[in-house]
Amino acid sequence: MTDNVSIPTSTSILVVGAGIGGMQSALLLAEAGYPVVLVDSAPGIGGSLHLLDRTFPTDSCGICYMVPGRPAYCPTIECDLHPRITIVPYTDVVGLEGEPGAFTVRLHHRPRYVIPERCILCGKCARVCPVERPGLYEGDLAKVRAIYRPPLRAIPPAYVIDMSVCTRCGKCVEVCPTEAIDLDMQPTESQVQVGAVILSPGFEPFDARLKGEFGWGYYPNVLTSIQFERMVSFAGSTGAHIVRPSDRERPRRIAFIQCVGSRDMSIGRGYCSSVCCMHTAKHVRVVKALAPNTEITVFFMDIRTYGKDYETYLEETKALPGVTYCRCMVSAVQERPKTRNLLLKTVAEDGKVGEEEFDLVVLVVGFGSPLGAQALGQALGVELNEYGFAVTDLFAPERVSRAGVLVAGAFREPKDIPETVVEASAVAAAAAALATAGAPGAEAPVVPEGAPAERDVTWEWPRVGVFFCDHRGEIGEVIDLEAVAERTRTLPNVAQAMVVGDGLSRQGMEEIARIVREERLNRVVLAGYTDIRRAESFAEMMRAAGLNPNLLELVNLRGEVAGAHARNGKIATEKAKELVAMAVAGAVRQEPFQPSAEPLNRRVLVIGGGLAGMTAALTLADLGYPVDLVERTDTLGGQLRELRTVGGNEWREWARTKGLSGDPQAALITLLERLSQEPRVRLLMKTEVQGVSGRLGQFRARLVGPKGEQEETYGAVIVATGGREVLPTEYLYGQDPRVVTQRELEKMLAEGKEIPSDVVMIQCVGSREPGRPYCSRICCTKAVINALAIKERNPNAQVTVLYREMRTYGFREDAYRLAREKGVVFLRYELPDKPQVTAGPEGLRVRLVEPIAGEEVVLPAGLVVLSTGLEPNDSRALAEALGVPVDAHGFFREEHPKMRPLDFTKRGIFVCGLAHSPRAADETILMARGAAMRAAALLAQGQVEVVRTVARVNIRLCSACGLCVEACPYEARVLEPGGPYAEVIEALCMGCGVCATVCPNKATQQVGYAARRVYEMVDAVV
Amino acid sequence: MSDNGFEPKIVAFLCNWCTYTGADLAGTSRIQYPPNVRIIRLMCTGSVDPTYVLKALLDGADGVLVGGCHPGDCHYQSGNYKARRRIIALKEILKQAGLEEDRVWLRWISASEGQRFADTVSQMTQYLKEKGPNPMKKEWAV
Repeated sequence: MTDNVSIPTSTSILVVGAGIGGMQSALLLAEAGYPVVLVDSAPGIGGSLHLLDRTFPTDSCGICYMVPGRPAYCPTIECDLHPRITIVPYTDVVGLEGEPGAFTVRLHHRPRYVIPERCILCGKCARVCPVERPGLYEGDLAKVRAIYRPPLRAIPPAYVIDMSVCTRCGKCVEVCPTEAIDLDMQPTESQVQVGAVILSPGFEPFDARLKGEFGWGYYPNVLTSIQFERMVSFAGSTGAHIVRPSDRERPRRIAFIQCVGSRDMSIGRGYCSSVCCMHTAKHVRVVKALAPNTEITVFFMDIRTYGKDYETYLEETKALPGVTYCRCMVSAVQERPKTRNLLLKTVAEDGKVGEEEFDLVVLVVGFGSPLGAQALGQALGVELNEYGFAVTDLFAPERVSRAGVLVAGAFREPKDIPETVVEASAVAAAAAALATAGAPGAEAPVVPEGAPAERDVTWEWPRVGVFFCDHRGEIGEVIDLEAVAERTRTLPNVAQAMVVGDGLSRQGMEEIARIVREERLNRVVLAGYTDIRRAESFAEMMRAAGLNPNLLELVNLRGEVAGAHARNGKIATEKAKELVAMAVAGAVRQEPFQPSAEPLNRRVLVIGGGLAGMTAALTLADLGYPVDLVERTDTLGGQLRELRTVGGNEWREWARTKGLSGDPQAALITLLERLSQEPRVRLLMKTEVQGVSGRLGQFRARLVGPKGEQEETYGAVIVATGGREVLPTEYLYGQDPRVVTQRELEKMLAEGKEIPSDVVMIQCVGSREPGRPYCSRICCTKAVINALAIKERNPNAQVTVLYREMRTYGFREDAYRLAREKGVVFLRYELPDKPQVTAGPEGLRVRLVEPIAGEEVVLPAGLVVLSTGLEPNDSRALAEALGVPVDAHGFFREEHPKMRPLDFTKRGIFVCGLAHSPRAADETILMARGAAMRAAALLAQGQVEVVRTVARVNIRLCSACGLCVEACPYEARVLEPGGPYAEVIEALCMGCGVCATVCPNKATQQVGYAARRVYEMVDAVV
Repeated sequence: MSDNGFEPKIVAFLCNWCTYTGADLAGTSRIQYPPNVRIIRLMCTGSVDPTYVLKALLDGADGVLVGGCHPGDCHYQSGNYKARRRIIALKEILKQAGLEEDRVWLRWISASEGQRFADTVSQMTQYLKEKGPNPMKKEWAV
């Protein structure tokens, strides 16, 4: 990371915004071989990741699962570790010139006033700083100083000064031990040459002060959901203790008010923020876990849990004791002066006005477009809609008005993490295709010049060299390193122990390598500043010393000793002695390891020729990978063939900026044309995948088609088997021609057929009821758009929509509001009182019990339209053949619902489209592109490298009991029936060591973590 | 037994991804905690062999801390669940054998929970100070 970036190559890609989306794009592109410049306007990368420590629906963190490839650290750290990612914090994009493939981007670097490379995070500056400012998420609940540390996991880990509040008193400059602070730092500008630009600047939470009637900012016990998120977080302001800010008491009654700053035209935010309903459900569960006796009421308009498995999550949440979901509007919040309790004025559905008292109120704030969005849009020539979000097309959802610029995440529309991960993966593919692909793929490892060959130390008696290295005096100021070295020399097997000063510098490492060679040391212990970001340099140092990198042990004196016991040097020094002794004992047990690699076939198998499969195949072809696209039927297109565009020009113009309008049949024709011209895609029609064996890099699939059976080998597999409309079995469907599905209505509208003037639509047909409990996500929007199309043709038509919840998430809410404005009537019904459709001589009649009045309503209907759900095609046999799971409803079960929605635990297989869950066309396209990119990032490695902590088997000790096979989560342990011993498939092993633990004979040992090593380390300290 | 200058020794087996990173964060963030813990970093709590814990106790460690990712967050799918099962079983066995199972603690600490790591070490040190030294110390030769 530098202030002046110049990477003079158009194979680079600029990613603007380093939140969950930006980091995802950056990591995938870097894996696929493209240099990435990762810019963020904040002083450190991470974005909203820092806010969350638990996410729905898993109620765990799991953020590391988004990192492609192997188990990994937090994505902020992984971005920092990746050699192809350049992190440029505290920087804005101010200009963009040139063409796709050859852009010049102007960057404006804000002054941080702290030099990150010098800052050692000692915090002395903040202790003397006299000025306070509100915390990033906590606001006034946890103030910080003018010189403050960005969130803990932000990179770079260094302080920053907020000059808007700084008084320039200079106290921090005086106390800084490393002269890291420069109050006269000036903004700078620089330029980068890139091939494509990805925008993922995220969102800005709604400023609750704009809804003054809720009293945020005046009443201490009114919090935003962002503040509350931190309060229930273990790493947050109160360490997961829920307290009232006014008196630090535990609240007994908490109210959540939904849609604060969403679906509210009074403040110019007509859209739905999509995430908040689930966010609140998570908060409800967390509160019930932390303080089970709390009474919770959630005030809402509609509950929009439309994502995969979200409906179940909501039902579970609602069923918790002491939890009430109340469908009513909160008009105002008032504080009772004595108790500081809060009185909520409510208006119920039937218009009844009520009051309820709570100890704590949480305002569930919506998403706004990110700060600086207008400036960014202007600088890049990107069209924004009325709300400040980027305008994209339904069938090119990653593109914006400026060619070569792509957008992902909440900047396109408010959205949840899985969608953000999907989109970020998708835009990575589009960017990679744009950037003139230099030579993506694994680069040859850099072997230091003149490095001697690795010495065979097998038969040598251990001679351990222990080197103590400091970094800017951080360790030496606490620990007496010379004293530790002196004690270390007395340990058995230690041949050398010395302090080398700055061991991380090039000279320091060369010095160590020289001493190791000269003194013929055969184990090295590096004690001091052993940053994991330097792992590759340490390995290089070992190679330069003529030793295998696995003969190195690290002692993290900085993190484990100097930082944690900074106030007691004597105790710290004693602890350091023991830790070093432990490492010496461990080093003696280390053995050389040569990682092997397995070949990777570049061809990809895409199963399913619908929108998802065709898009995935073309995306991979664009990136240079050969693809076999297998389709079971004799036509391509799948469900896309069934979709039509409705509505006239007026609607199209209105819907354009909301990403709601596009022509499915035109999109289909384009796809078919591109496929017919794409030499890298081989089409296999009327072909089924009968069996798949093998593994990542070398899947062997048995394909059965018109020409018989054939076996092919693939590097990766993408599952895009799709889904279909559920055919209704109720409401007289199939018995009366005047009862149709939404799709049939869509076709009637598109073909200009006569539509009766009284239409009744029934929502949730075959969704959200026993047997098919999930929400099908798309039906509410489809109903609204079709209703609008009917009204457009015949403004006098009477259209009534019978619904349970209207789930018009995101900008679809605008269409819902427009429909109400145009006179479409929305009537709610509740289970079990489903509407009744009867056919009589005078026409169709729909009866329903209107839940507010409790009265029966009878609606005459010339046409009844059923909003049917979606279900997956039956792919259980395929799932079994692939060895991947499906859920109870037949959808494929991804590895992690939040952070890894496109991958399976079994490496090299990916999922997209309706095979994953119900979704709209734009969401399907993004998912297909995302899956393709994840496959490409994997295949770009060129080979499957084996992890350094792989399990190995001593076959003489193995009794073939098979316990390891059961324990391995990755199918990396195999025991052939009747086989003499269990093997490790090294390419699949992730190196967790669990199989070594279950092995009763200790036949399996984990490289670098042998049981003997641990025993001796324990002996060394106890 | 109260605090009479006795400094317990805690051996901690921490997973590489979450708890060790959290422990490092505690140090680099200068969060102060008692110096009684000796960390042995492993890739996953799923690879904490119960014999490691037994060995430490029989050697005379006053406490053993096993720290891993929160449920649902294991970087290897289910290693922490496996650890949880094993440690529960181990504690039961220790109890049956008349040994002190409360010297073994299993805690979930994420990579961003430096404070939680520091608090855990503080609490455990305090608890063991009150409990007194491991009676097995010097009783065994392993």
